[in-house]
Amino acid sequence: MDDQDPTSVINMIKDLRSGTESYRKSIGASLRFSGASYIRTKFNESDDSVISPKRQKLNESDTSIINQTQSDSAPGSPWEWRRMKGEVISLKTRLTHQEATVQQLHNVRRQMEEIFEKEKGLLQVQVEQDAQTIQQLEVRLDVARRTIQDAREAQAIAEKEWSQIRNNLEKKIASLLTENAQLSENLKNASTKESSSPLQDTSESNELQLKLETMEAKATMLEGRMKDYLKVQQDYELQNVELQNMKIKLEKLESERALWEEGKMLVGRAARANDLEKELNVAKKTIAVLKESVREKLLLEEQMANMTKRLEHTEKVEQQVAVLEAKRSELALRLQEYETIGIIGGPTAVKRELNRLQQAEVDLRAEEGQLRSRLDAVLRESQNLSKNYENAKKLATDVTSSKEKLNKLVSRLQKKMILVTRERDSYRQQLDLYEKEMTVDGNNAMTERIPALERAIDGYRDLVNKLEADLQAVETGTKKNECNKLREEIEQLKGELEHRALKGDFNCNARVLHFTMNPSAIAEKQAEEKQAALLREVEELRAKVGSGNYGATTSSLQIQEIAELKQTHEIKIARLKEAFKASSQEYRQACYQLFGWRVDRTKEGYYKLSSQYAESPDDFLFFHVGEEGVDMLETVFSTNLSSLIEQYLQRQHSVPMFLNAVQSDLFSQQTVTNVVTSRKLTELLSRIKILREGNVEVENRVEPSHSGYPTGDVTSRPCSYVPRKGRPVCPRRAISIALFGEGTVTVIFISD
Amino acid sequence: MTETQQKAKCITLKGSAELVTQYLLYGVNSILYQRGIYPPETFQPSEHFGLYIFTSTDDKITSFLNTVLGQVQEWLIQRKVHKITLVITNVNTKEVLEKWDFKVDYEDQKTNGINSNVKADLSEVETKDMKTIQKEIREVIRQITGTVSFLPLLDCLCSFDILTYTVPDCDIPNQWDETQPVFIANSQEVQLRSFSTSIHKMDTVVSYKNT
Repeated sequence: MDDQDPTSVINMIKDLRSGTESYRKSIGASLRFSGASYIRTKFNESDDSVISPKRQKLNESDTSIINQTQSDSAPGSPWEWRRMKGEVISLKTRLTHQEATVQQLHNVRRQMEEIFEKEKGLLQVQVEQDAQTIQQLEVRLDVARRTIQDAREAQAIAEKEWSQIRNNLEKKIASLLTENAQLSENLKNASTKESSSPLQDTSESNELQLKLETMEAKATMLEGRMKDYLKVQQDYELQNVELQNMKIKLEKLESERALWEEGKMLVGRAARANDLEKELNVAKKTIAVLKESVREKLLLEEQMANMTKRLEHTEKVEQQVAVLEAKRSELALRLQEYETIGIIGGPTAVKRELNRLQQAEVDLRAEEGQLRSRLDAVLRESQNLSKNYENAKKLATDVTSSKEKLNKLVSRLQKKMILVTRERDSYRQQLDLYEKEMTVDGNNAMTERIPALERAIDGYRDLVNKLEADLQAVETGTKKNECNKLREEIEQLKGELEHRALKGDFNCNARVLHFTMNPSAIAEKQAEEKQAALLREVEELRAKVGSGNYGATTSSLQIQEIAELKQTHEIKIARLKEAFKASSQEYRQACYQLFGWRVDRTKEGYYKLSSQYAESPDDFLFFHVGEEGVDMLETVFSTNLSSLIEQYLQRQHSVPMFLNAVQSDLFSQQTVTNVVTSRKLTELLSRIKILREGNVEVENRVEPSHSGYPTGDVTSRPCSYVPRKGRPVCPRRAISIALFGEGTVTVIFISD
Repeated sequence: MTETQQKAKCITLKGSAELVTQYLLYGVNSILYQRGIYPPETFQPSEHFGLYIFTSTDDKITSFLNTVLGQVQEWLIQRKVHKITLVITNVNTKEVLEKWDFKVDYEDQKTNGINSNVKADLSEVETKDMKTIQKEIREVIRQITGTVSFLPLLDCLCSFDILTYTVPDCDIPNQWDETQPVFIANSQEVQLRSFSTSIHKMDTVVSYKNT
């Protein structure tokens, strides 16, 4: 049991909690039911579900209470027991309260249900009544419809009749119209007949006239009928209009009837509605009463809560009141103390006192300020005075010092005075003595002596003046001399300086700068290096000489020198060669121009001679010059000269003469002997132009070697003239002209 | 005279310095050629100041002259150089055989600062024309060429150096060095013509060993 004790208590608490929760739920549900008017079945269900757990719980709590009572018998503190008991009682009271409220709510609900059922029955009755009225109205509506249908049928029948009548009438009209047409035709025919035979057919015409009259009578009759028909038609139309009016009236009546019915219904309903409204008002009132009761309940609860709060508040206030009372007593005590001190009259008096005191303070302050300013003024004055005093002190000290000095002076002067008086006394004594003596010697000596002495003094003065003048003169002279000398020196020095400047001296306040890597420095360095190398070599050679070794001692320097020499020699040789070439060329040229033979040395001792006047370059002579003499070798050209060979070589054995003969022969072959000079060239050129204009063909056949001059390129031009022999005129100008033929210009070659 | 023409004719300090350095370059080149200090094959003629002047084609010499004269031109603008001396020395004995002094005088010494100088120049330049300056330079170079007639023959291996006499507070540039002035014992001096750009006045003096 002891072990179960706490658990039982816990269970109890749990139960309580759950109970309260369920209570809350139930309250929520009940509130909801009271606020709404729903279906009854739901009410029943909820009733069961809500009430059943509550009862159980109540039972449980009862059992727990029993348990508790059982546990109470067990040892436990009386305080606890009491507390528990109190709790139990409170819980029981609560329970009873709750049950009462629940029952009340149930009653209210039942009443509500009854009221609602009554209302429902009333409403059902009303519905039934409404349905009956609706049925009645439907029946009436059917009747009305039937009548409308009947009216329509009647209308349709009438329309049919009317249409039939109209058709008949129309047919009749058509037949009459055809008749009329036939008659008119007949009439025409009759008139034609009459015109053709007016005299013959008078009888016929009479007959016809009769007929016509009958016909006319018929027509009038028909017209009358027509009028009747039209009247009938109009009547019909009027009837139709009336019918339509009737229809409109019928509709109006129907609508009136509907309105009347509706009015009737509304009257019925209104009669019922008043009752219903009354009932509804009653119900609403009851509902409002119920709602108010609920609200009041809630209000009361709120009020309760408010009251509890207020109570707490009032309690607090009471506490505060107590505190305040304590304070008040304290303050009263203090007040009493104050009163005992003598402050009577409350705060105003105090305030007044304070004001008075403040005023007094202010006054005092002002006084203090004034006093302070005065004090400052006094202090300043005192300072001034002290300064003055100090100054005065200083003055006093000065005065005292001066006084002391003066005292000293006075004492000294007194001493001096004493001395002077003594001296004076002594002098007096002496004077007395002298007077005594003078009286003895007489005054003559004195009188003679003074002027003499004065003269001597004058003399000395003159001397001094003279000497001074001399000195001055001497001094000025020397200075000038010195000055001049110095100037001269300066000029000299300047000149010297200029000279020196020219020589390279420079002003000391200048700086001499040069580029460190200047050529002279480099050259000097190189020279030094070279010297060093030479010295080294000398040393080496000396060493070699000392050791007696005379081997190959060609130094690198020697080799270099030799190489240089070689190079210079080579250059020399090359230059000589060039010079030789030029001179030989010149020589050959000269030979060629002077003797008319071009001499080419093909081999050693073999000479090829080609004449200036040769026809072609193939015409040349070949000689062999040996130790034994000159031998002519056979060539193509030499075969043509057999007569000359025989004459000059075989008979006279003279090669030069042979050559001359060949030359002269060749020369004589030329028809033109006059040498074309440069002066004539212009003339020739003009001729060339003419030739060109005359479609001149030029054939290039002259070759540079044959002409004997380096003529350069010769361009070919079509030419009808074929040259036999060529002779260049002006090769330097790159124009080669050959003149041949019987005293005229035959062929001219011009290189562009 | 319009302003543009004036500008075309006037010489600025820079222009003057450039002209002077050009004179020095061609003067030194012609001395080197005329005095035969370097072989004549290494020289090429070109026209300057209306004269055919032989200038060296040796890279070492040209680079040396360019660096030295470039520096000198800077100093001329800054008025820091008094004199430029071309010294011809015997390489083996280090004896100074000949000395060419190019003395520089600044003609507008009174005014200080470059800006004021330029202004002063503008007024002066009207009298000094570019052509006249060139003519003067031409005359001097002709004289230099003419000195060969009386100067002694340099029959030994010679080299040259250029010394610049500057103001004492001059900074020593890189690769430059302070040195001693040179003297020629028993020397003879010949003053040549002088020319002026109206900013710089150049006196040329040749001194040589009297034998």
